[in-house]
Amino acid sequence: MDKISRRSFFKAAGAAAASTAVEAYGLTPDKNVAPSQNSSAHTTYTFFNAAEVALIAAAVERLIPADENGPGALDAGVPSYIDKQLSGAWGAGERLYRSGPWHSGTPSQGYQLPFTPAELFRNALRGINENLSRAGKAAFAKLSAQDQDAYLKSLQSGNIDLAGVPSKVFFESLLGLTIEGFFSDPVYGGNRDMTAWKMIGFPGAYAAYYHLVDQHGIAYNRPPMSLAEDGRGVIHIHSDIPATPSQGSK
Amino acid sequence: MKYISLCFVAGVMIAITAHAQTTTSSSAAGNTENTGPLGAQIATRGGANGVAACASCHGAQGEGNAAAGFPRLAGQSEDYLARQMKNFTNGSRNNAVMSPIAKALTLQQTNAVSAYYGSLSAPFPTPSQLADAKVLQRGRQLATVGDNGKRIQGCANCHGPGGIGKPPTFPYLAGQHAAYLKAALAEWKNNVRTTDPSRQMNIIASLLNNEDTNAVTAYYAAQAAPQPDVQRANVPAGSTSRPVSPNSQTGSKSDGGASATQGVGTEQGAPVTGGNQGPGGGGASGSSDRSKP
Amino acid sequence: MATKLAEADAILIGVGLVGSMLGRELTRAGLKVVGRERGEPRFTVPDFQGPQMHDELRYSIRKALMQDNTKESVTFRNTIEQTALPIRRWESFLPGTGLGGAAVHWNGQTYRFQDSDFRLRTQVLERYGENFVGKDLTIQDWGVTAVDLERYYDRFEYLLGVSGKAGHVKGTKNAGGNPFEDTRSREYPTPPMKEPYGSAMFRKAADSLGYHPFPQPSAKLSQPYTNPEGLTMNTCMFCGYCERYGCEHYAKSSPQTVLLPVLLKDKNFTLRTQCQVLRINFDKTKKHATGVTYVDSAGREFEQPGRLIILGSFALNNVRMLLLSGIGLPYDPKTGKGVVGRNYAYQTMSGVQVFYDQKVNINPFMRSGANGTVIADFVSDNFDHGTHGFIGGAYIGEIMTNGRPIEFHPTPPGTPAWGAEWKKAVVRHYNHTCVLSIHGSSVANRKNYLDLDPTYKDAWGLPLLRTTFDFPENDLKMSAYVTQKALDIGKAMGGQQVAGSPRKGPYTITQYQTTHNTGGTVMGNEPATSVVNRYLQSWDVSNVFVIGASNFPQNASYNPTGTVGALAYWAADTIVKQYLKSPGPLVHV
Repeated sequence: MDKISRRSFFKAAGAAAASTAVEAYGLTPDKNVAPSQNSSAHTTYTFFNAAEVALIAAAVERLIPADENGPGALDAGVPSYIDKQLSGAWGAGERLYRSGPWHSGTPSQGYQLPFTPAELFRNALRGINENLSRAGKAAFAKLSAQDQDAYLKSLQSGNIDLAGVPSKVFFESLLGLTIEGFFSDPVYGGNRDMTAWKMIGFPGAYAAYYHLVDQHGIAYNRPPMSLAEDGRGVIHIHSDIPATPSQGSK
Repeated sequence: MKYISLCFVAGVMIAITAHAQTTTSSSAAGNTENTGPLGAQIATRGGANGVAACASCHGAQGEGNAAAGFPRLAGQSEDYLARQMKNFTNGSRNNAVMSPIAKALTLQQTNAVSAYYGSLSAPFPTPSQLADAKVLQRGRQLATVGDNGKRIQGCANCHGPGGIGKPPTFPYLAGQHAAYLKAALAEWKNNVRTTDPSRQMNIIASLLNNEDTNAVTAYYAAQAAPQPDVQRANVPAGSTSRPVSPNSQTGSKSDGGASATQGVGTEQGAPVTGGNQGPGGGGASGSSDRSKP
Repeated sequence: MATKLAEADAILIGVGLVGSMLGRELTRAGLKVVGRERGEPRFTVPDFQGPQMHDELRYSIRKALMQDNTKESVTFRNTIEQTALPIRRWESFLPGTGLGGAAVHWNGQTYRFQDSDFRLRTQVLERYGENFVGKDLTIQDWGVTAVDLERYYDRFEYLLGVSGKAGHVKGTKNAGGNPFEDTRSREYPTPPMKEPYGSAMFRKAADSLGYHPFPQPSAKLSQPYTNPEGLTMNTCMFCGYCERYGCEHYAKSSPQTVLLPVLLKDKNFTLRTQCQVLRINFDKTKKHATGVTYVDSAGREFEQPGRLIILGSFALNNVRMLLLSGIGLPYDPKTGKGVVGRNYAYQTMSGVQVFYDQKVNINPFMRSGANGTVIADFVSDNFDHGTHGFIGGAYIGEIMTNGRPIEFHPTPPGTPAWGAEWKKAVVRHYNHTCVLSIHGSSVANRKNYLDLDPTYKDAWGLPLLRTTFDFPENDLKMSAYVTQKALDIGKAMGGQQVAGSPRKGPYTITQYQTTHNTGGTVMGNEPATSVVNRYLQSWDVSNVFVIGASNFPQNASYNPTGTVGALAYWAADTIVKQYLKSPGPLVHV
């Protein structure tokens, strides 16, 4: 579960670059907050077990890495986002038509596997561990960044059987969820501090631009606002929802 | 950065030509060399051109005057304040006291004093007497969700969470004096205030009856006024900390790094819907096909 | 055992746009009308209020306002040789549900089809000759003309308060409007919306190339407007959360804002929501419907008798209801006989991206559902198809609707799908990219059709609708031609890089394209090639009217809702003025 904490990110990326990104949107660094409160150290996972978290955390950080533009998927809380999606109704197949018979179909017919998203992740993550250990490799999280990238590419383009889940399907699911978690409202556990929105300049949930739309080319530098904005500049990020510890670890 | 607010004053509703690098960023009084002293001077001592000190009505810290209905200015969006001065000048807003003052001020003075008030952080005294709980409840409903029977939308849609405002366009309402808000709603209702080309406010005000007006203004008056816009920061839930004061001026937007390089990914990185609901297109411009659940 | 209810004068199956319009017209005529809506009731306040409505994950990605696949999906295959499989989650198109229907979460692009669209077969034969149309294309005339529908289009536009600029009023062409439109009786009710930056650059480029740009007609209003029902609409605030969302400002024309407040107060109208209609019932002659059977949210079955039945649900569901009820002969693609499910068509979409320098701030989040600027120079038969070998066309426009970042994070071709380079490219291009839409027509052919699936069932145990569809060669050629024109405009827009490609087959349900599914209960003058007559009355059961985009014999270049609205008023007018006086077939053949 080694991770790039917010503090180490700032160190790694260089204080100058980091503070530029923060200042760019009229924000001041939240100096009063201890770094531990901002890092993912306190996230309670309700779906993933510890080994799964390590894999997911490492993988999402390769999909959207930290760089001079700002934090990556890990520091944005994407693992927490994915965990909550999978442990909730969506992971259990909400709105997913689930009657058989099951046929693989053509690519144009879309997803036709019997797995719910939660089942798909459980199986695929187990499959990845088996796949790596059969090849005599270390666990995904322990691989070098380069090897992680190569392995992710093999999942993406190959057709590895991950305990019944085609690796391409798992990869697309993981990438889709990572992008969702990175860019969705922070209430869902990702996009912590609206970091992804600040990076691209998306102003968030409070929106009404009638008076500005015809000011063509205007540089709109307002800080974003979340659904959870309490009106006092405080975003409630519910990344620490208490859960029964046994729930995620089988 | 200061020329930016000049643009706003000079033509906030006028389309600024393409490529013009204007900004809506509220830089407040950060640039003290230029605006601080002048803004503070006008606010506390008035202008040489016969302008009375703003503080004489709006209070030493921009806290306004509840009884007299003089609005709180402290921490209000600088862009919004400057725009109102322009509105008083051009007659889209009228006030026996403010209109002559606005007309007397130069553009530079207006900008300076707007920036000054935008940066102020006046205390917010808890109102000595709160309205009846039922009235506040009605006010809260109107402020946050609205009333479908009357086709009134929630104020928060534009004025932000808890009425903290959404600069540069929408002023904060939280902590604003009820008497002022009532007067403002009356101006909207009677169409003597025509500063909003969308006419949203004229329509909404016309739908509010006296009880609604009392309720929503009492509700907002009872909410703590927000910190100056420039001091807002993001703090995670569970943290007891609050936004800290700014010590740097806002800069221009991060340029986002060097131009894109060609990669070797096997999937297209095109947007899922291309900023539209539809197109995408097949092949190269299309989004990644989703075979995921 | 079904509980039998008291007889109504008219039953609405579905209380969306069509249901609300017909409900209003029929109650106004004095009928006792009951509305049966399968989805939930919902209203601007509190259901569409901010900020909760501005939740991209919930509404755009998880599709909260759409039909629940676990209750009702459709199956799909490209060709008749394949086995159709259920669409397990919506992606390519998004059937809505609930009070107000898809008009709650639509974008409000409100066009009129052109006369050449209504008389497509005649037009093509006259202009290009017998051999121009491929043998397998089953395009046909609608049985109505632009002149027939003008006053109904007009009425619908004034109901919604559409913001636009007319190009052709009472025979006079007006600069700035659509010069290709058929003459209309008056100007739009409200002026065009503000033009966003990208749209302005598109206008300039299109002008320079000799095209005729005009503001997209919008049911997101440019200014306050009070409609003939006495309901006042507000100005659209350009929030960037339009399609797939309800509107918090009373600025989007939907049944909730333009009709329902009046209709729901009418004592002649009864609304029941969360009622799933299973079938239309008949008497012994099979020529006369006696009512509908529905199941409520608690699973209780009811029989609702009624003298007149208005089937006004989503196009696909209209077709399914007729098939489930046994009204009309189902289409057989092998013999070409039968009508219900015949001529299923779609929309042929493609896109072009214009990547700008970082100095150019596009601000994609300052948008509205139906804003922007388009050209109709390549729509329908507005250009000579003589040498091209296809019929139909597309409008091209810079009509971006949003900058919501899960959906919108454009990167130039060649950018990897993930990793450091992807992230850099997203940050670099997010605020500096315009997207052009190419919104193309869709011809009907013998192979694309709808029927009941032999295998998969809905939550009530009834067969799902089966769609068999692939893009006809004609439409792929059309898309190739018009997309090239869009690329040329894109290049004239001053970007650093322009990317895009035409629509290519096979049709896939894995990528959002549009929810403009049309056909299957086609209107026309011949019972052998249509399900309903020109007044949208069933040829087989004269007290059933079927209204929606399912009436389109093939799909035109423009968005369909304006035409659905016009057809709804056209049918309502005929019912009130002719049918009610003497119930029975309105057209005899």
